[in-house]
Amino acid sequence: MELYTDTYYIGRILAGDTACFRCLLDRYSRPVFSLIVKIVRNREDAEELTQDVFVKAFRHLASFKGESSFSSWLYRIAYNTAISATRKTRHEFLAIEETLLNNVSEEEVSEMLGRTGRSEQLQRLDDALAALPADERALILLFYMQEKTVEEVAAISGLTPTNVKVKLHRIRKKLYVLLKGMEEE
Amino acid sequence: MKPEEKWLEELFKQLPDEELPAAFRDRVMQQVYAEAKRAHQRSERWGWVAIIAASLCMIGLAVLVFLYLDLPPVRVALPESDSWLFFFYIGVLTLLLLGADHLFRQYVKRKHS
Repeated sequence: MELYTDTYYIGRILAGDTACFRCLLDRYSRPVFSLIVKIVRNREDAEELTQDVFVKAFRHLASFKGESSFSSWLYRIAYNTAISATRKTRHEFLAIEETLLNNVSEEEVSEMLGRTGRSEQLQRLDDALAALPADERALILLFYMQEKTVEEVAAISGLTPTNVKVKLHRIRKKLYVLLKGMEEE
Repeated sequence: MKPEEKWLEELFKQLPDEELPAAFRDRVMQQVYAEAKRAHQRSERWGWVAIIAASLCMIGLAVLVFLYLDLPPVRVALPESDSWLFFFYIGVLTLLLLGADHLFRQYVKRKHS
């Protein structure tokens, strides 16, 4: 049961009760860490980045004006921190042809995946996510795993809602192509 | 959401949440406390800077007023030398009372903490 709202804790912290930050940490550290691990794909780096995210959040808490929810504000810090970290390291991503993206059928992929066990499906999804660029991975994870709305994803990523919709559509298509490729191997 | 996207959503929902090490919370809180201390010291420093700047402005303003407004010189009349003992007595009494007040406040603070 959640006793107090984020706004209540923020008010207390800004009034000098630093210990209240522990409550926000308990509420958000796990989902933020899960997101960052999946974006940077390294547990040690993700742990350090999550720590950075919360220290940054504490440092700039006074600038949180409540225009969005605290969770969106925090995820925005997490998104920017994780994406900046991935830019420092070189990654190679699979280039997918436009024709392949246009021809893939969602029903076909879901049917193919349906033939395998749940743990294998999850493993394949994880492998497919690993093949995506970090920013695309972050967007699709925010939308499906963290269950954010298109508007919230837009606020977090700094894109427009229309841009987010288009990007999500393309990322889904990419995932279908990757999952189909794995099935055919 | 289209029905064919539903299975993907379901699949994402089943991705396991990652566990953080037990010491993570304490480590972050240590950093947060250090950050709070730094912020407090920073604001205290800025407070002193503001006080010093305001004092210098007031002194500067006073000097300017004396120089440009051509005010008559201030004359201070010293009291007769035989009444100095009385003033000394009042000064010592005030200091003693202030000291006693300080000690009493410290005693009350200790008792209530």
